[in-house]
Amino acid sequence: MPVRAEVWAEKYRPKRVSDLIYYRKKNQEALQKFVSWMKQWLAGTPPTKRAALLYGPPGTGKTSLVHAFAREHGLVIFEVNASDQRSGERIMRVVEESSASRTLTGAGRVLLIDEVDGISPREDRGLYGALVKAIPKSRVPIVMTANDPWSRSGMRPLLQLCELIKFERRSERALIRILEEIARKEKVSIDKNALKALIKKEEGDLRSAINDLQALAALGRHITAEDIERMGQRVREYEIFEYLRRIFYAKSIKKARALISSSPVDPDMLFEWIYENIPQVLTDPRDLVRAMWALSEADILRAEMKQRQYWTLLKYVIDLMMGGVAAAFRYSKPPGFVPMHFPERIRILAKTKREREKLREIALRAKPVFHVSTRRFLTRYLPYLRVICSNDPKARNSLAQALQLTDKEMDFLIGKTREVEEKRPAKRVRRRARRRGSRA
Amino acid sequence: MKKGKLFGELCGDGGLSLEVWVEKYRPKVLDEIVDQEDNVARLKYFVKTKSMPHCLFTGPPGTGKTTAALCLARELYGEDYRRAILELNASDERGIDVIRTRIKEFARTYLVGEIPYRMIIMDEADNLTSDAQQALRRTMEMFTRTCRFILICNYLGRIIEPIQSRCAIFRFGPLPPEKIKQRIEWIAKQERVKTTKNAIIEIVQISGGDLRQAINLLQAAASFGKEVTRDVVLRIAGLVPREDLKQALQLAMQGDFIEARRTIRRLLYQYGVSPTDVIRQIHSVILDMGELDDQQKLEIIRTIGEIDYRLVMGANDEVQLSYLLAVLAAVKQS
Repeated sequence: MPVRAEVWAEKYRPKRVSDLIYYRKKNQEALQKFVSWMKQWLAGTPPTKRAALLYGPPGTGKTSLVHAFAREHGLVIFEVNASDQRSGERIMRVVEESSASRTLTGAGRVLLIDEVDGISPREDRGLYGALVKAIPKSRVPIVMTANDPWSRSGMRPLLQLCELIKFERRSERALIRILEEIARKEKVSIDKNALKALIKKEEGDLRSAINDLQALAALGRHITAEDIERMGQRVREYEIFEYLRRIFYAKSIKKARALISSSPVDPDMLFEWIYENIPQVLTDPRDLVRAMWALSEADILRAEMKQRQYWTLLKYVIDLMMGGVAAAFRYSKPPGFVPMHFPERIRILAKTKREREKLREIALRAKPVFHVSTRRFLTRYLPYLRVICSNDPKARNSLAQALQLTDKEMDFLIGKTREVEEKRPAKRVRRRARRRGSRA
Repeated sequence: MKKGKLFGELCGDGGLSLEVWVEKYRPKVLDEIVDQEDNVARLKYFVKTKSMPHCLFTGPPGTGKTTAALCLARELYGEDYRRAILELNASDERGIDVIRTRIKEFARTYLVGEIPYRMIIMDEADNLTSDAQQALRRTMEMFTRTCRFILICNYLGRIIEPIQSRCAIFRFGPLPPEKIKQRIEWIAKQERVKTTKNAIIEIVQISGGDLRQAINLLQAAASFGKEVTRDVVLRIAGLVPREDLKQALQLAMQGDFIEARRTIRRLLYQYGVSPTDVIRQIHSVILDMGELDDQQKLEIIRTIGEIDYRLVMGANDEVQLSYLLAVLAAVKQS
């Protein structure tokens, strides 16, 4: 079988409404509501509310339902990208064309606007206005999806015109069953605990969980809960990129700091995202230095806040880190598309987590010998001990004895090897490799 | 942990000889302590009268604070002193509750012997939050009858007033170069290590009054098994790969912040260099940079000082070093 670069989340999207069987418990009501709303259109008697808004957390099957229904009933989906600047015009055109033709000729149409609440406030005016005008006279079903429609004040007038259909997170068991089936079909061997961890990590978002599963499958071996842990918390990147742009290009400190309430990540993580991306946006050194100054001030204040538990300092930390970068923008390239990056520091720290844990464990043993804290042992002693023990076997042996280190641990401590412990012989890897070989 | 402690006992008291010189040559009695005459005299008085108040030892690293506490314990309680003392480190114990529990457990039993109180040595006490220090103060009062505290810190200003007022304060100043020199030369003689005069001068200078660092430096330089020369000392002291560091500074001054930051990350995470070493190395390099005029150098040095201080105060190393890179980039632009 040729290997195709297929996205599993798309490949395993339900093809028919009945495939959405796992809704049965949680979203049965939503399912029925949508189907009966659509059936009114198909019967030629458009419902009073000409638009439906499917809302709920990401990965709960909103878009899948629309696609499955359309496929089953031979409907053509007109998908409109919400963040496209001319989407307002496009919607009006589709609506007007279909009204002019009076009857629904040939294949019926569905107008689908995905993530209608996911666009920036600067772009939303045209879109929401166009929708408010278009919906009452539309002769095509307009279906929208959203995560949290009430978060956007601009959307309020729109809500009254829509059939509101609520989606909830599915149960862990249901999600595990779906993932298990995909794993089985794709011949991925994975622990049940790992699946559980995956669902927990993605907070019930099936699409992200499937994406993770596909990424993990690339390891080509049996997957355990530990692997999931090592993946770390994946932030919904699109969301955070947009959000960062709003901070960096905010017109004032006040506007920038007001954004904190809608931050998709906690303040510490936000700090990392801002820090990583400062040089991407603030390309002029004069801007860069002002932004880094503000961030370094926020950083020391944050350290003080945590150490002394003066949580009231948080507001200044936020002013400095969010307002600071917004205020620094002056000479750099004008706002435009800038690629944002995941915080490299976090990635590195996640990768070296086990090594650092091991070092700390050894440092704890060193404490009573050297009468120092683990932190000082690592920074003030270890660099010298590395040189001493690499050169002088007598010193090496005595230290190994004092700290009860195995040869392997000693090698790790002095930096001769990066391996924390012996690797378990990976049988499954070999088996999978063979299977792959025969397939190729 | 428990096993480690056992071994610690053996090593510290010469059961096994630990060939790490900072420990091997750690003074056993108060009279052996380098410099600090006034402090030693006061502590010896405690030994003579067999009574002592709560104490607060303050001063920079490597000036003999922990050693003085251990020597005092040994002279008060004898070779078996470890049974009578509890060593805590505020930067490792999680929260004041854990500390209090450990103190309570330790202080519960009376000590049989000449001296009716036990000794609790709390290192890095300035790492405790002020709330935790308040709690510690109450604990100190509660166990005054059965325990004496020796609190050790680098910065007296970070210890709350009520604790300061309950303790006898001992200030440990940085060791004078002459004393460090003597001690280093003495250890070199004990270990039959040949050194050049310049090597010793270099070690003394780099250590900046921190005897512990001086001894570590000497042993690392001697571990190659050859004569210790100035070059070897410099090579060890430059555990920071100098070339990488220079490259980072050059990149920053050319305005390539992203690449400069990548280089710093390599130093911190790949080579595992201590951030304080990085910043101090940068300081020693800056003065020789022909691309900068003196006014620019001053501005950078001011920033370096600020950052060094912040790192000591627990700021994030990478963020602070990146700030310095940004300053370098901007200095060159203006």
